[in-house]
Amino acid sequence: MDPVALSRRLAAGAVLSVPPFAVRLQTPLHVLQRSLHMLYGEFDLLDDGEAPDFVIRVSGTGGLHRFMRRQAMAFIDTPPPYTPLPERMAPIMFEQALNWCVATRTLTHLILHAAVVAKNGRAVIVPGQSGQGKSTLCAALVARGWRHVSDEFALMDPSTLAITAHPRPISLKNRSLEVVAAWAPEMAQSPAYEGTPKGTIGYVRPSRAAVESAPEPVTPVAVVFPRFDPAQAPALDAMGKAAAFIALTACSVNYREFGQAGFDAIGRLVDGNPVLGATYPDTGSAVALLEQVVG
Amino acid sequence: MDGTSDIFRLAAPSGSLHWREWDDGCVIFNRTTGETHYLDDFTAYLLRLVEAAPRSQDALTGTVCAELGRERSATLEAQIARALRNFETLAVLERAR
Repeated sequence: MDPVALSRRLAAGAVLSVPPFAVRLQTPLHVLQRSLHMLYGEFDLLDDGEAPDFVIRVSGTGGLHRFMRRQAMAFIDTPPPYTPLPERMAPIMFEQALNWCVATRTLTHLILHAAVVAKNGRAVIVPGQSGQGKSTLCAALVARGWRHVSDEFALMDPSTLAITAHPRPISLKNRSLEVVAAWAPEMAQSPAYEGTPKGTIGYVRPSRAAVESAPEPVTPVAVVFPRFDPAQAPALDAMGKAAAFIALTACSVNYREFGQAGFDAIGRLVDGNPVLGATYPDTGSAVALLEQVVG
Repeated sequence: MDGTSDIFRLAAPSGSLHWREWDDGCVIFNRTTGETHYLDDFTAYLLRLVEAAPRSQDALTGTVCAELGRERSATLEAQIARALRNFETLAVLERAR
C-alpha cells in the first residue's frame, strides 16, 4: 500500500494483522504513520469491519504540549499504562502499547518473555528480560536465514507446548543497533530513537517470509538462556532443570493465571528439552552456538 | 512449651501439592494457594515426610537422624525448625489444633 493511502486509513482507524492478532490502530501522527509503513510494510491490512483483538489509539497530548515539546500518548481502552513520550517517539509508544495488550490480554497462551527462532523447523526459545541480548541474537540469526518466530514473546499452548508465531519489528537497544548493523547491513532498520527511558531504541523490519510463515506454529527443541560476556570463551552449559524451571516462570508474564496448567507446561518443557546457558563474547560465536544446538 | 511437640500437617487437602523433582532440586505447585515454590533436596525430603504422615518437629528430627544417619544437633534442629516455619508462612503446612 502506498504511504499516502496508508496514512489516510490510519488517520481514520485501520485494522492491521499482526499475527496472531488483529489490531485496530488509529493515529493522526505522521511520524507513526511513516514508521508503520516502513516497519509493518509486509503485514496485511484487514477489512475495517474485522473484529480486532486490541484497539490502540496513539495521538498527541493536549494543553501546552500542543505547542512545545509535542508528545505522543497511547490509549488502549482503559487509562494508558505509560507516561507520554515525545511525539517523535510515537513508534515506540505503539510498540509498548501493543506489548502491554499482548502481555495482559492474551488468555489462550502461556507467554514467556523470550525470542523464538527456528531452523529447518527446529525452534529454540531464547528467554530473557529486556537488555539480556535475546533480540540481538534473534536479529543475528534471522540475518543468517533462521525463521523469525518472535523477538519478544513466546506464545505457548500449555497443552501441546506448540508456539504460535508473533513476528514483530525486532527491538534493538543502544549498542545492539551498531552490532546488528555491522553483522547484517542488508537488514532494514528504522531510525534510531535517542533519549528514551531505555536509551537509544531502533527496530528491524520483519521480512515477508516471517509474516507469511506466521500461521505455522513451531515446536521447541531447546531452551537457551543467552549471556553476552566479552571476557569469556563461547560455551554451552546444561542448566539444572529446577533452576531452569524457576528461571522460566520468572520470564513468564502470565504464569500465575494458568495455575496448575502453567506448572505442568513449564515442567514438560523443561523435562522434554535441553535447557542450556549460552555464553558468548561476540555475535559470530553466539550464532555458531545456536547452530550447534539445532544440529 | 517450645513448640517442638506441635504436630505439623499439610495445610491443604490431600492431592493439592504437585511435585517435579530433578537433580538440582524440586518445585512444588500448591493448588490451594496457586503458588509455586523451589525446594532444595533436604527441604523437599522434610516435606515428603510430613506429607506421608503428620509429625512434630521433634519426631521429624528423630526420623531425619535415623534415616540419614545424622547426629541430633542444635544446628540440625534449627535447620528443621526454619524449614517448618517457612512452610507454615507459605501455607504449605499448618499446626494441628
